[in-house]
Amino acid sequence: MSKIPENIQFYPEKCSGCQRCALSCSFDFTGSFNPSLSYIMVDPFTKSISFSDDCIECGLCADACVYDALKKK
Amino acid sequence: MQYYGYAGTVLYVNLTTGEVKKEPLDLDLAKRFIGGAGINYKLAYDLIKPGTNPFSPENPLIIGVGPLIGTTAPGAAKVLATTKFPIPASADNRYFIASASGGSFRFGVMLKNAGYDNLVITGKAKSPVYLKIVDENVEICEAGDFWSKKDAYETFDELNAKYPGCGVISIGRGGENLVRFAMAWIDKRNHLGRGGLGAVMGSKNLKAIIALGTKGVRVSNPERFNKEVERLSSVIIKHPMVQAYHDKGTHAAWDVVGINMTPGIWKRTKWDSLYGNIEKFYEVKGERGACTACLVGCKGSLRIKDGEFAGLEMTGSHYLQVCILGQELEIDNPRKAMKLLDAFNRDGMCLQAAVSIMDWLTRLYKDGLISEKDTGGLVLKRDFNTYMDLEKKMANREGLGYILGEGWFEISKHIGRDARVDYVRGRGIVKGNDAIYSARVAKLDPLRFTIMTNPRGAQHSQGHSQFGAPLLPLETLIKDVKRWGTPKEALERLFTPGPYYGAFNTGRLTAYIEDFHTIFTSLGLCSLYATFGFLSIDSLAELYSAATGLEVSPEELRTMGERTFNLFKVLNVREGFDRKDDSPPDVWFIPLSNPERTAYMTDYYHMRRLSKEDVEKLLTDYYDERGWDPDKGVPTRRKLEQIGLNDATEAVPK
Repeated sequence: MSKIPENIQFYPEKCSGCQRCALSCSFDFTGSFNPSLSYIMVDPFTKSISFSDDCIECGLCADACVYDALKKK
Repeated sequence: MQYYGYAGTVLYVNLTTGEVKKEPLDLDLAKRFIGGAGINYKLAYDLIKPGTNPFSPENPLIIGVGPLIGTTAPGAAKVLATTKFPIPASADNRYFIASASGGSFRFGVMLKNAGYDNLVITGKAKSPVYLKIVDENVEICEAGDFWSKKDAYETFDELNAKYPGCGVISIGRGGENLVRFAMAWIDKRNHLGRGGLGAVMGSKNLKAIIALGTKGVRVSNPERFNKEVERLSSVIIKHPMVQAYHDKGTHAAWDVVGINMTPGIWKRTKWDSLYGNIEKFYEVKGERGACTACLVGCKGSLRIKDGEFAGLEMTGSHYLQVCILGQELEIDNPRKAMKLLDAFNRDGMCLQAAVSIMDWLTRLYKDGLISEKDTGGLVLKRDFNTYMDLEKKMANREGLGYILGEGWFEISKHIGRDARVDYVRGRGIVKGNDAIYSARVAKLDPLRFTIMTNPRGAQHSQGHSQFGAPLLPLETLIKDVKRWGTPKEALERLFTPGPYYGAFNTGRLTAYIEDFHTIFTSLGLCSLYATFGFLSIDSLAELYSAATGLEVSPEELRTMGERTFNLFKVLNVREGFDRKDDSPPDVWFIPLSNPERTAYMTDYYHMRRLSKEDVEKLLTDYYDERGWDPDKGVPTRRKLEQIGLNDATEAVPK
């Protein structure tokens, strides 16, 4: 797993764990809502996130975040 | 066959024989009953023989996740669990068949990703087990290390660590010991409460269910689906209450919900200063929390940061519940209220039922109407330590706790008093469940009316709408009613002022909000989105059509909701329930006083004080609006045939 992409800022205290980022990411890249295939992984209980090496830093996850936990720099 | 929205499989597990069976989801069933609660009810109708004991192995526990779960549809995380509930619903020991529902952080999306829309668990394991569902791998696992050793929270923690990424439903000591108001936890953040679903799991020796899946959820028309999701999201996120919820959780609604939920023992100023004041909330505010795909985020945690009980962290309980518990039991220290609530949570017992029972008995003891002979030697003082002790006795079924765990009717028999008429400060008991909201304080809006008409009795999840906010302008309310898909021809009938109800006919209105909520629970959506009026029947039809590829008009979807609610009712008619079980609680008509004011049962606009006869007339109107037999309070065969329930007509009288 790679670190957070350089163009993304993560504010863990704002994360609600809703996983809209992971659902949106997987849908865009695989055609189905599938948290296990998302390039961003979220633990909704600990609010920790990680990104797969396949992440292309498109920023879709930040666009999907309504809690301002993920923001594009 | 490629399914869209739906996962496509119904999973059957028999804990007695160990048999696991998978059947393709019948799309004709989906077209009739939508999914989630709706398909659960159809499965229950086919599986539950009338008169089945809730604790018998034959009583199925049916879990359903609707077709929108696993997608980004706002609020699509609601898990529905249907069974015959063990709380006695009548003095002659009838039991209702209903659904408990709770949001989920992972369980809903993971059951769907594992490939299942509905899960049917029957039988009883020889020894404690948990059920593991990981994609195709379905396994009944030994749970001896958990049973009576780990509480509901600890069980979640261990299973979540053992199967990273999974969702978990777990029970605590209350469920293991068959407390009839034991609940189950979903992901340690939400609960399946009211009526004892946790005890049904306990009766099956089932400590937990875990789900983990990798299959994904496809939608039929991604462009159309995403367009509607984006349109809704952009509107919802701008709503001022949503922004307030992000910061304060449900405490943002303190001024409305807090007041509506309690009879009010203290002066408002005292309650505010001890509990409700926003600074009090911030003292214990923990992390944000939201169910999957939710834009509102009402599931933040609470944490005691220092001092007494420092380190206590609580997920899944709204701060409002701390406030209510504090006032109801007159505990003037929020930390102690949190500690007591934490005990209920860990043991997996419904806070509302347990606290109301404690309150009632303490009152009787104080007034000398029961003695230590009735309490098994327990001195029932109104203090924290007494209640902590009583909580443990309930969970372990020791002494007085054994009787308390049997529910209101058995307690009433034990002490020779009828809680339904005797517990005047309570919120009313209907079908063995005590209400969460006080109709005398909140007034008789559709949500309070469902306390009578819902087959589950005093629940609180099948009637939320904008009527929950007090004294809104009539045009706002009419707009909300239109949002539910209520036919235009009905509007004049609903909003013509009448001599026994005020500006609108709550009884008739309730039929439509029940059907609307049935669509929510069948799709897998949270009722909060109806509370704020975020989702209309048009949006629901658009989301459903785009997700599943099964094109429905708003009118057709409304009929599907009506059909499903009627099936829910028929399930219970078959168990012997009728109009007499829907009667309003006598205590509703006794004025309720606190040091500041007296609350009377009135209509929404406080125009008229309502009598029991008025409410009975409204009940007749409700049955009439539904096309049911108003004398018996049950669907007619003709009505069932009209809405496509020909296969259920034999369950109702000719």
